[in-house]
This record gives sequence, structure tokens and C-alpha cells, in this order.
Amino acid sequence: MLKYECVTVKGKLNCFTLDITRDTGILGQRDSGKEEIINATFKLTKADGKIFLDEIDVFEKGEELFWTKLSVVFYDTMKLFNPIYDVASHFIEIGISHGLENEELIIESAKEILKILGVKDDVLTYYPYQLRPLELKKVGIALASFLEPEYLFIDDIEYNLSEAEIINVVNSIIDLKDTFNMKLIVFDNDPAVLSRLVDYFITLYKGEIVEEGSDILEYPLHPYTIDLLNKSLKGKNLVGKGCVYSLNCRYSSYKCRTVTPRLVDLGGRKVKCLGFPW
Amino acid sequence: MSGLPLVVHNVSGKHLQNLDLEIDKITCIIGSFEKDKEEIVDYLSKVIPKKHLRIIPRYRINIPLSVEEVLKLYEKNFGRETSILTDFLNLDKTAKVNELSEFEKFKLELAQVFFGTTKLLIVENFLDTFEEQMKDVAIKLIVKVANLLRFNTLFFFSSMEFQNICEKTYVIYGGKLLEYTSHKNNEFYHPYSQFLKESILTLGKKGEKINLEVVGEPALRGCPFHDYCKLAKSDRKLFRICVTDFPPKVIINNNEVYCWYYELGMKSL
Repeated sequence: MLKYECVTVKGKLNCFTLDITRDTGILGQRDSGKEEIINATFKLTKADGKIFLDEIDVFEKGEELFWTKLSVVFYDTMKLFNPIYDVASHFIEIGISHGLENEELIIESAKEILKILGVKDDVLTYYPYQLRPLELKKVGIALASFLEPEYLFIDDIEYNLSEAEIINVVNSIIDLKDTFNMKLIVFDNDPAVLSRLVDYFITLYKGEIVEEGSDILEYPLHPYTIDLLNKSLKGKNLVGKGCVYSLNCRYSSYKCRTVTPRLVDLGGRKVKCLGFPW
Repeated sequence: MSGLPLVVHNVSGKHLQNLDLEIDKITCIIGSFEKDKEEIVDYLSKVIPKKHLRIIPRYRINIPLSVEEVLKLYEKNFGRETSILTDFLNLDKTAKVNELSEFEKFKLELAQVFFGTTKLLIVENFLDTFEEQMKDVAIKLIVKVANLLRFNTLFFFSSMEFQNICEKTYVIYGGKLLEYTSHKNNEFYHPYSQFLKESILTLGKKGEKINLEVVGEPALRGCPFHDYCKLAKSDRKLFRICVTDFPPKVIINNNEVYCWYYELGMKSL
């Protein structure tokens, strides 16, 4: 189990607490704090709180876990690559640094994953900047899942891809999941992407979880989730003093702007809204 | 003057062949944003005077300047600001650009049309890098401003999602025009246009795939879409001609369609 205990990134992520045991989707906009969850997990930013992977402290032993237990595909996939090395070298580098010694075997394994993802294996001879956006995204996913991690984080699949390419990537990840026994943690602002890859959802607004559950896309309860799904958000995401969404919420009252709601459990569904006080 | 249609002939390049374009009000070029589309932007940037042309790029602006400093640059490049800008876009002039939300950055890029005389706004395919929830709002804002200031707008889209706003629609793939319509009829006939219409990701269940053809590089000969075309693949005779020759124009319900399937079908071969 991957356990987040009040992980906080100053001004961006507020006491993020979650136990991840299944494929999970984090639904939120670019300023929701989802990127900070990834950065905190992979020690790319200073964060307070604790993250445990099966009792192992990720903040203490992170480097030993990366690639083999926890792996990530950033929204800007180029972040995974060194532009002066070709694609094959990246697989070899990661393989050898994690105890695989046979380069031929590493390349064969890379070809297998690329085949599952529907990418021609000649991309191995290319430099990352030579790849088309769709190829780059898929090669990034292949690289991140190459050592069969327990948890694969994928941020903003749709970034820099057309609608047809997003569908292509989503289909490929579904194929990959059929082969590899890993859990997905998908961070996205498109509910359609999440719905096809995961079965548990978190809605994040300005660094705070406002709703979580397995059917929030079908039956959203929090006003922010409703606005997000209806694409009826305001241009600027303001932060309220009581409820974090109170300044943009159409149902907001004086109480919402002064009292901070708790995350209330409604029989498996959790909602942080004063409209659900029981 | 600014509201008149803009006509350009024989737009050509390394990846583009003899394209005639009439840009009137809201005009759209639809198809994956590849080198051919970039060449259209490059061509228009050369033939249209800089003082009349504005471009919203694919990627958002990210510079260590304040909003006010960027607006001053617009004024220097394009001319004086019209007075309604600040109220209309509600920009915080003291804010730093690199601290703005994605949508605020977009509004700052759109602000350039309020300076000097804008005759053409080119909107590169920015939706691929934009948040899902704000796409509609951004498109509506551009259309609203274009109607207000009466300039022509050329949108590049990679899907048909927003085609209903277009007065004229060019479907281009592999540097070739495959379908054109000047009607908001929402009906398309070329297999590539239909592929784009089917490319809509909807809510589904975990593990549920969408049945959609994988489309890669266009073919250099014949119809550029023949490698992925369901119609061509279903008929050997048809496929043979699609591979070798670029199809002639066929008019179907006022749409100009370049496809052998309709050409041969209409002649009842």
C-alpha cells in the first residue's frame, strides 16, 4: 500500500492524506496541487508529512524505490530523457543501474514493451527530440514501466496530444495493464481519461481533497466536481478562507466562507462540503 | 477593411501543395498539427504585414515579466491600446506572467488583438496543451472578441470538437486538402474527416477501449490517408487507385470532397 500522511507543500498542497491500494485517478486542474504530489513522492520538491510504501519511508529511502517500485511519466515527457542520448541508451542505463547486466536482454525487453504499446522498435535508435509527440509519450511510458514498478504515476496524458492520439495512448495503457501487474495513479483534468484507466477517484482543488470515491464521475456531490465535469468553471481559481471552493461555488453561503468543512464519509463516498453536514 | 475576407492562393511548402485559402470571419483548418500546418502559419506570417497579424501560439507564454510590461511590448509592436481591453479581459496588470494560471496567460496572449489594427488572428492548435475544462471558455472568448473587433480568425484544430463555430472549414492531412465546406452543416464525408469526428474520448468504464484506427504518417503518393482508410481497405480496386493517384474533387451536399470512393461511386463503376 502507498500511504500519504498529511503531505504538505507550502502554499500548493495542504495535508494530502490518502491510502492507495488500487488504480487511482486524481482529478484536478493544473493548479490543483497534483503536480506537487508527484514532486513530493519523487523528492523533487520540499514537502512535510510522510509517505510510506509498505512501511518503507519514501522520503528516507526514495532513491532505492524509484523505477523499480515507484515510477513516473511526467506531463512533459521530455523530463524523463537526456537529449544527448538515444532512446536505447536510456533503457540500458536504467537497466544496468538496477542490476540487469545483459544489454541485449535489456533491448529485447524494451522492444517487447514498445510492441505492447504499439510503437515500432526503430524508435530505439532515435534521439528523444526526433520523436513525434505520440511516440515520445509512449516511449516515456515504456521507459517508466520497463522495470515493472508496483506503482506507475502518469501525469496529464493528454498534454501536447490530439484527441485521436489521447485515445491511442489510453488504449495502449489498457493493453500494458493486461500484461504488467502494476497499479496506476493517473493525474488528469480530463475525467474521460481517468474513467477508462482507474476505478477510484479523488477530486483535488487548490491543494485540497474535496471529494473521493469510486463513482464520483457518475454521481458527483461536491460543487467543484460538478462544475469540473460540466465544464462550467470560472477562469480564476480563488481560495476561500472557510471552504477552499467557497469563492467560486454557486451554492456558497456566509458559513461556507467562514467555516472549514471536514471530509465527511457518506458510506464510502467522502465529501468536503458543508452541504453534507451529517 | 479589417472585416473583409482574406484570400491567399497557392500556399505551398516542403510539406504542403498549392492550397488556396479564403479566411472569412471564423475559418478553421482541421487535422493533426504537423509540418504542413506550421508551413501555413509561416506563409501567412510572411505575406501579411506584422502590424495586422496576431498569433496565439501552441504553448503558453512564460516569461519573467509583469502583465503591464507585456502590454507595453504589445503597444510598442502593434500600436495604441483600445480602451476596453482592461475591463473586457479583466487582467491584473501588476501580476507576474510566470505566476499566472494557464487561462490568465491565454487571456494575456489574446490581449494583443486590442492593440493597433488587427486584421487576422491565427490561433495555433493550443487546445492540445490546454486544460480540458477551460477549452470551451477560451474558444468562446476568442469568438466574442473577434466579433467585437471585427477581425478574421484562423483556427487550427486537431479534432472536430469545435467545428460548429467555423464559417469555413478546411480538412487537411499530409499537406493536402481533403475536404472543404463553407457551411455549418456539421456533415463530413471524407474518411479522414470521419476519423476526426469519431476521435472523441467519452466517459467509460475501467479497461474499456475506444475502437479507433491508429493513424500515423501520411502517404506521400495518392491519397495521403489511404493507409488508414476503412473504405479503401474494403475494396482492392479502390485501394489500388487510392495508392497511386490523388482523387479529384467531388461535390457532396455542398462539401468539396477529394475521395475516390465517391468519385467512383458517382460514376457507378
